[in-house]
Amino acid sequence: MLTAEVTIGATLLGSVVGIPIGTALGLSRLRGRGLVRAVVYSLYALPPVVAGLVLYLILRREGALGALGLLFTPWAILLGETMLTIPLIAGLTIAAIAELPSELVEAIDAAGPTPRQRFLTLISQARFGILSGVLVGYGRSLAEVAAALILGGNIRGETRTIGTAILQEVNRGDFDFALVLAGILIAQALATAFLLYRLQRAERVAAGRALAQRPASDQVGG
Amino acid sequence: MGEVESIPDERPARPPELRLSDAGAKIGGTWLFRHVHLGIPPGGLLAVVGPSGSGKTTFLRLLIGLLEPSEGSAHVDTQEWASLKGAERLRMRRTFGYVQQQPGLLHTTLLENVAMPLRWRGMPREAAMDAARESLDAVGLSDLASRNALGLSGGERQRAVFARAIAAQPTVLVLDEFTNHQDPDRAEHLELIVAERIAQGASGIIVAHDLGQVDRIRRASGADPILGILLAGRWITVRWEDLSRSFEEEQLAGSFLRRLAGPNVVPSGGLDPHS
Repeated sequence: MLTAEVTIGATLLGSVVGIPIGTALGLSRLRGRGLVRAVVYSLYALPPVVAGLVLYLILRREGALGALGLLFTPWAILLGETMLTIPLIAGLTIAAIAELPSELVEAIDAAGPTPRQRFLTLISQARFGILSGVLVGYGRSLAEVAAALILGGNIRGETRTIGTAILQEVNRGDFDFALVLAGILIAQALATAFLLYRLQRAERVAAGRALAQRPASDQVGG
Repeated sequence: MGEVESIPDERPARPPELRLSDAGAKIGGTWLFRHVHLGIPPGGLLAVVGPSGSGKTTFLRLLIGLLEPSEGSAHVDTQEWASLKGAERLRMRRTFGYVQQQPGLLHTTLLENVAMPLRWRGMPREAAMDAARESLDAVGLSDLASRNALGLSGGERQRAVFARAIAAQPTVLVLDEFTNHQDPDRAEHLELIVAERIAQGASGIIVAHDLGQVDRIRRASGADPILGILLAGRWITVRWEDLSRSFEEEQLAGSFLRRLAGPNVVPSGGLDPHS
């Protein structure tokens, strides 16, 4: 099944788009930044069914990108899941970047980084929070069925994901097989949560007493 | 971006001239100070004093282009900071070594922290590490090189930022109460490092809370400082020699006047040179 490929692909794509957006918004002092951030946060709750529907309309033969023939292919699911991961990754990146001490950002700027050096340093300093965003994004696309069903069509061997397969087995009444598939999903989710926990722990040990001296807000999600 | 990435470390050997013309800074709707006119020639030494909250740190930020003035302009050499973009801005930025009052350190080892600006300038890793070690050694922190910088004490953090600033051989030292958390011996040691750099031709801009510090750096470096005072939103400059003369004159005149007035006259609201 292509669940892993789609989920990992959507997480990577979502990171590539979401982390720079989140970094820019996290640092921004422009007027209206609050509104833009609020929009990003509200997209956390973007119903997958809606994301799937919008993308369906764009990708269907009469749609703007219909000529690409992506509908009912894994690419369509990948795009749909990416749309759902971007707000989460961008939103948690905003929070992580905005939490960096202002004197640190100033020290980085004063040392004369190129834009690339600046971006890489900032995200490495906020890596803890950003990583949480990436893993939460991964979790969302892993658990998601509605967009995958609309965009992929649940075609066996082509666009069937674990989620859509469970739906189908439930409809057919084969609960045993559905439960096995559900177990696989849960195992993956647990593995993700465990990874997150381990990374956060490692981070804390590395920081030594440093984290103990920092405000409690740095330790959110631990 | 790629173009900027590859610029080599070719900072001008001579410190840039710094200038503020009619500059003012407004934070949160209130003016911290206005109408500041100032020029610091290459190799000059400026000491800034003023009560807390008078905008000393903001003043430094204007001078080194970290903040744009709310009115007036800030220049480096012939150019306005606001007009400097991309690689030019970067090259100029790298001539400054800034020691913040609130040390901003990366969540990584002390050594990596000090090496960071050197690595950004394209110095090979080994050379950058060596230079960083040397710099840490100069401020007495070499034992802590492999520790996480965020776990250090306040005084250690301040010296770490100092080590980072001097490691890159800046031609302008910008120091914001850089000996705040140091005991007197350490403070004097840091002052000597500063004096040495100034004697070698660097410019110095020092926010001080103690004129004794300015005097020590002046003596050790042979520089002739200008004293800038931020007081009640105004900017007043005094040349160091005028300052000592006015103290002396005031003392002379004071003792004469006291004798003239006799023991029964107690003047109120007189000039106090220490306020």
